[in-house]
Amino acid sequence: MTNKMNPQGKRIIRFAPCPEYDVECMESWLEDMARQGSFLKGNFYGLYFFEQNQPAEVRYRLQAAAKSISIFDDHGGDPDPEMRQLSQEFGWEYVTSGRDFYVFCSKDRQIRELNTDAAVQAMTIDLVRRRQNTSAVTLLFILILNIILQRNFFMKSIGLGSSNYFPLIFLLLWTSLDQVVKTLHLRKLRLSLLRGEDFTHNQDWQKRAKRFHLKNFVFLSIAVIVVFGFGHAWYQDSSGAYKNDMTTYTEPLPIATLQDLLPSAEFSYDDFGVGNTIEVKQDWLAPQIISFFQTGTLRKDGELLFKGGLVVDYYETKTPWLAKKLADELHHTARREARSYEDLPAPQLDVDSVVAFRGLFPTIIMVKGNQVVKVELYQSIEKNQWTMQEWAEVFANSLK
Amino acid sequence: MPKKALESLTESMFYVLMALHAAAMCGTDIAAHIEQLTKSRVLLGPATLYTILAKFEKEKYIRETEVDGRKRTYALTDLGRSAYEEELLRLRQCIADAESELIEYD
Repeated sequence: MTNKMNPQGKRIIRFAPCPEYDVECMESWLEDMARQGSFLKGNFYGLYFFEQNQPAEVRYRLQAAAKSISIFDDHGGDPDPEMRQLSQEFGWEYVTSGRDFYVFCSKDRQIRELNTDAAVQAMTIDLVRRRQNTSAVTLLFILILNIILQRNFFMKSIGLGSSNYFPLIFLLLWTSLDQVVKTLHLRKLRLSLLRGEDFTHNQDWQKRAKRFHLKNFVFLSIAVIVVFGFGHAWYQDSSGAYKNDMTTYTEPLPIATLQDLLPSAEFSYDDFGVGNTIEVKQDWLAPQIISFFQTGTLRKDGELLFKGGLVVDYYETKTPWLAKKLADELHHTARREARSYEDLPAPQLDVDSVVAFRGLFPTIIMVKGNQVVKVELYQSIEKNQWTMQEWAEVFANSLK
Repeated sequence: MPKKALESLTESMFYVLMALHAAAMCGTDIAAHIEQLTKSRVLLGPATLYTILAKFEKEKYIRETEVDGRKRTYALTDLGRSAYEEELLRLRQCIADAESELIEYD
């Protein structure tokens, strides 16, 4: 780029062509930019700010920071004042900092290098590598804890929306992998220093730039999709977009309701200010999700035959395997989260599998084909109590 | 107790201890002292010097004695002094070994 095209003093912004930890590439890039008349002035999360001036040969050096750099640290993200002072006295100017490296420059090609002892430089690189190692391990641990140990991966996916959750997990895995790559790169750098090899400052950074920019673009796009996805889901949830009044809901349901306990009886809703709502959602893993909470009374010939409530979570999953996994997770979560939990004998039902327990109320979780249903029923009258076998049969038989 | 630092002392590190063994001084003076002592054979860059000082301070080989603005003056601690003397002894032994080998060879 010529000086005519970029008048002096004009500011330009560029994305780095490689990650910050690729010290050789970064130093080569910054030196090339200076040769084209663009001089680094600052950076912000991978965006680098340059000022145009007469092209010059400038040495740029990235110095690994002993601690993670943050604007909240003792020196506001800048190096220790003593480090700045020493560098200045030796002809090196501090320019800016990234996450783990400080950038220094010098227009004097004759002055001594910022680092003159490869073993000492390797030591600082190793500090960054260890930090990365710790964060990679922590991130992987969190992922493993969330996905494997909590045993609620599918529940969580469906709950948060698979279209949001899967990309989020993908991003977290990507970040962990990135940390591992960074660790390996820093290790390689450290070893090459210990072998006495000098850093290259004429690397062909352009070759890698396209791939790096594409990678960043993909990552950022997915991150934006995830943020908007979660935002949209949160808005829909909080605005009650999925919630309907059960008393006026007329769509056919794939599972029985309180009315179906005794179709010949007269059903009336009880209004306690809560319940009698139904939520209908869709998900990649479960194309039909229905949750409802009904409270009501069944009477026949004036006699009170049922009074209580019903909480149903119904999922029609993509595959029967997924239905079984989801049922396992629902059971595991109920067992873990219930204040008091007691296994109950499972009723005899015409379904693929069924478990029964008492959490807050008597509950069954059953699977039939690709359908999973969790039914909690409470009865608030002593007389005419329904046995679990009786009411569970009604719900099991209502499944396709 | 710090780890066996003598095993991991580089030439630059050894010279920093040597400079501070002579007198308490600040970073720039340490670099100048070493440059003069070694007739410019050993030159310390600012990042190298700063890293070594930070590491020695952390390992309690040196301590800060004076702060004048951004400039800090350091002095050797007893631990640093013994680390330096042990390394000196080791190097002397190396030289002695090498010389005795040369005599045998001759």
